[in-house]
Amino acid sequence: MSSNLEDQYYLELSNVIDLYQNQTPIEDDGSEYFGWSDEDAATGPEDTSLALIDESQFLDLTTPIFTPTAEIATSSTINTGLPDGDIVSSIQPTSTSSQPPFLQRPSTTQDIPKIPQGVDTATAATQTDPAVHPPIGSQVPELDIESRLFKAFLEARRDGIVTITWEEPDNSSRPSAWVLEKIDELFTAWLDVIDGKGKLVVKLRGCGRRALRSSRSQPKWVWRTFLYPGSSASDIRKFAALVRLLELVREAITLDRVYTKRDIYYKDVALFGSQQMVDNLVDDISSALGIPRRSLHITAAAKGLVCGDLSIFKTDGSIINCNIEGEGVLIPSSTDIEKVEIRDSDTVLIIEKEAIFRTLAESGDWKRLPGRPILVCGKGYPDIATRELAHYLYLSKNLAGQYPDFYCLVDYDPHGLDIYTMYKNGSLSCRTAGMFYEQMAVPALRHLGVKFSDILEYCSAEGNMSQNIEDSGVIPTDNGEEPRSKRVRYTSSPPQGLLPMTAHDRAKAVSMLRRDHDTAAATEHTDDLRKLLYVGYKAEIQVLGDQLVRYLEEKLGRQRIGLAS
Amino acid sequence: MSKQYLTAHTIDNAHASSIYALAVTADYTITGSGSSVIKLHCTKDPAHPLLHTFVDGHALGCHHIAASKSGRRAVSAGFEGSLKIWDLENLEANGEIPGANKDGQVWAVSLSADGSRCLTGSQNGRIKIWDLEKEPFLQLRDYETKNIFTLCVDLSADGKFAASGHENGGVYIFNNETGRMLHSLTGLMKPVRGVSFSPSGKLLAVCGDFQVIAIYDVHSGEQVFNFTGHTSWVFSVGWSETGQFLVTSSFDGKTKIWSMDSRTCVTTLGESNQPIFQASFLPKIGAGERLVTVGTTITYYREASGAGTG
Repeated sequence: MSSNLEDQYYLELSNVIDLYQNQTPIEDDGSEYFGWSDEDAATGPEDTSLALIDESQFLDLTTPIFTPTAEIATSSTINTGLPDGDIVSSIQPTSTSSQPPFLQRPSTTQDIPKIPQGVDTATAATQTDPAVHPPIGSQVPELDIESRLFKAFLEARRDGIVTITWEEPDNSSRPSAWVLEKIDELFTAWLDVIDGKGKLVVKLRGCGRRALRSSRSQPKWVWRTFLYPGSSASDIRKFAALVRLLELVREAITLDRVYTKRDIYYKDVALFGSQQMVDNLVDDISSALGIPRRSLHITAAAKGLVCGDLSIFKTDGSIINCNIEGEGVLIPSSTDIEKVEIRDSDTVLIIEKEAIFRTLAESGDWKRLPGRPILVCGKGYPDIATRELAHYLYLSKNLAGQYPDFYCLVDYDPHGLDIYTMYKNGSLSCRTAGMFYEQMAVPALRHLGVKFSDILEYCSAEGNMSQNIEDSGVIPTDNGEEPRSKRVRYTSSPPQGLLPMTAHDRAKAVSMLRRDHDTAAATEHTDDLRKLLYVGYKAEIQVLGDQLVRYLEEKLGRQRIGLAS
Repeated sequence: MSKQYLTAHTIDNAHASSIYALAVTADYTITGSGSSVIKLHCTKDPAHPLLHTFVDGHALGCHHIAASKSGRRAVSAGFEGSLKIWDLENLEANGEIPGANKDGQVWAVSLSADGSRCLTGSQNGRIKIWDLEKEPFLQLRDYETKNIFTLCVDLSADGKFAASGHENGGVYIFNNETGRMLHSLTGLMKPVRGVSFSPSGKLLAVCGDFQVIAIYDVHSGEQVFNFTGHTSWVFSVGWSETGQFLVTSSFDGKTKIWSMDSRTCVTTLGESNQPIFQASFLPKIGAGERLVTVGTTITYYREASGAGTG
């Protein structure tokens, strides 16, 4: 640490415990994360703290989020005396010159360790400190961040650097009011730095996205660094986006509203730039705070669709009837679902593609299919709400007292098979994070199609498998069939609807094989993966074209006969 | 003229999943599948008992196997990308070719008749010849093509020519003595899944998704004639020992035998509609031809006695 720094604060809040990462739709996980510095944060002490996770915390879905607890009251009564290892003890000035207007600064000496690792997490998790954040509504009633920030932009930079590290233990059971406090606390600290004309460095403990996707290892933490004032345009934007997002979270909690990630993106398209940036920031903030995303009052936009003989009873007393002609119903978040009631259906058909779902729903064809299936569509990789609904259905009986059968209609490509396995086994990232993935799986799910054999059966009649041969010169062969030309030209495209496997598809298939080939439930879809690799074609559901309904009738009918016998 | 073939023997549960790879020597019928093992069934014995299993084959499964005609050596390629050499005389693993995947992952393999030369075709169209006689295995030839997936390769019996078939329909013949491309065969525009030199090395049979079996003259590069009759993708083509017959197998489960003399399809085999990934004649013993096909099962056929006179 150089001595010329004017202010040096370390807001070390506590050790790493865990996060509640997988409220994110899974497709976010596969994407890369641009524009952030990924410093590896997986250090020894954090690894040991990971062992402290009490997994039962995650399994408690019923913990109320908004229950006012005594914590706020507690916080206001906590003595400002600083117990050893308390959060506040880490806020320390390294120099007493040019004091910023700080609310209350512990006058500790410089030789206190900068980052007190190994803080008793129980202490840290239950104590909030009024020294850093006064009770809401009293001392800091209104934080006009934007104007403060704007003003700060105009000020000249000086030579002080302040690093604020932000990481929290698992706080998944905490109320949103606590989040509010936490944000205010952060803002206050930052503003003090900025007011003191210090250079602000915020380090946020995010979650490595690649780690979520890969293998069965523990999640890997990475540090996101935010600079203020930034040295480049992207630094400035990053910081501004962080502040703006925290402000929106604050607003959502204060107004007791829930924003979708899409809402947030549209609040300031120019600033956020992409949905990806919002998604990643939200994940990082919830990771750093150690809370589930819903505690930030942020959800993913409802994505999944359902249609069929089904009623969804919501916790607010309303009933969604999914038997509406012409369109599907958006699947509500599982926290809003009281119970589901299946009526006449004894089949659930999970469909990868929205277009196919809409075709079946709008035409009303689903009513005439065997088993009168309930259609569920996750629009590609399913989000959590969709998988949880599938799981609810899996646990439900219809009015006749039968459990429904589950079938899956996906593209015949590596991603389609991956989606199938995600519905069937739960997602890998959930397993990685030790989450309640078994509550989102449908082990009885069967792969209905599409497969190559189906294409042969249903498309060859349409002439898709045939070819045009241009006769250009007559050199007959004596093979007992009509004469062919010596030089034969064949149509260049593969049978309609079939696409060649790309290098990306192949890599995906091989990585899925690596992942799944030795697991118990592997044989079925790994064989399909190998067939894809060997044959070199993939197919979309659309290959069936107008044969779709006939295809489903026959396949579902066959399955039912197979089950009966 | 038609011939009649009878199912001689079927091995139903040879492998836990589909069988993609087949190589036949006088002693062994070598098969590779989605499971990690490579199995060796007896070729001669009409009961075709299992003689040996290479348990440490390919973890993710095996998609190509080539064996030398001499029965000395086999080479297998797995889905995970490795290329393994097997000593068939001592029934043991004989290492891998290090660096085989350096310029692109190997997909297709072939061996010369004596097993000393190995031909590989990679996913980015690199065709290479390796010397397997002594380690380290030297790379003898490296042909660069148009960066198109190589689905199949074949070496002529004398090792003089190499042929490769590609996903865009490209078929190339290389002269291994000069190290140059001899012919680029045009006219095919769909994936080429099988190339095979006739036993004499004068003709090249080509099959693929165009459903036609095209016969080329190796020296001139001219298409001599073609067989039509398959109605689905044709996965493999192979010659009988004498060069008199061709066997082809297709995705719709049909196996066809073609006569080079009469230029007709002499028989069509296949009871199921499950894909037949490979088919091959067996080394001839006695009068009639015998053949083996793999897909979901290993099935042996033999020519009905007395039917060959036609």
